[in-house]
Amino acid sequence: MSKEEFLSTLKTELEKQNLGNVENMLQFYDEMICDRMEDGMTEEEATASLGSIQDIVKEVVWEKPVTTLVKERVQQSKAKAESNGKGAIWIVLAVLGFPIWLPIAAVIAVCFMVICLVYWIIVLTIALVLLVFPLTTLACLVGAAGVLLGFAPFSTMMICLGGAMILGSLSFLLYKPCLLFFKETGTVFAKMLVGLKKTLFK
Amino acid sequence: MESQFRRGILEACVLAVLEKGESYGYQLVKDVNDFIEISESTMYPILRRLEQTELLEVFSMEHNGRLRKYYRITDKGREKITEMLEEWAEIVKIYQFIVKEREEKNE
Repeated sequence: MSKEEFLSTLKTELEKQNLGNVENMLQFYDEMICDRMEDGMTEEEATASLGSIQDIVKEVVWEKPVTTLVKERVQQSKAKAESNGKGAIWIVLAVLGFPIWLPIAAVIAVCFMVICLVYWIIVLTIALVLLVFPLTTLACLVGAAGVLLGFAPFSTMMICLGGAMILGSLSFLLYKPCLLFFKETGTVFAKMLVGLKKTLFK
Repeated sequence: MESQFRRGILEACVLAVLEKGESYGYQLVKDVNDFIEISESTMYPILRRLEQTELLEVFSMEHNGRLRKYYRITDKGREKITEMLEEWAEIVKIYQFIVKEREEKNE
């Protein structure tokens, strides 16, 4: 075997083993072959005297820390399990765990629905208030105008004007924070729905 | 020989050779081979670990138009040899104890 052949075969074998320092090792063996040739061996003799590539690789694998070896084993078996019927274990677990996960799922679903309901009630209430305040303000103003035209006493006009001022300023003050509230909570809800969709239908 | 034990001995041999002066891979294999049989495939991980544990340092020098890696022992490496010799003295004591116990049993 020539030096090039030896090193390229070694490289392929080492890469199969998922080792970090392949380059370093190839350099080492390159140097060994060169030194042997300088010592008087031919290229063939030099590569032959290094022993079989299988033995070299085996030795390196032994040098791997046990933790890496174990991790690889786990990953291999995981990959195997997934390719074999793609998570048959999960189906078995789902069937066996039926009495446990069904009530839990039901409780979670009910909780989610209640939260949704409460949220929409709050939103609707606020929206209603936002709608009613300006409308009442308008009504008060109309009432005040009616007084001016002589339909009602002066005191009623004062009450109407006061009501218009209070309600008008309230609706003016509440308008922006409420919109902000809708926007923020709306985004949170949208995100929650997207996340739910993602987990349910991958 | 048990691999861990053999590894420890080989490490000490490499360090002992390097204590005489810096050397390179092939020369180290030849030198250590005078005492214990060692192949390149065994030498490589030993050098690697000695480097990682900073018992030796590696540097490259040009030789015949190519770069060759040389290894030099560190102070930590010298301390390690002393440490190992002390450990082996303990092991010798244990060895003597075991031999003595067996002899007494056989008597």
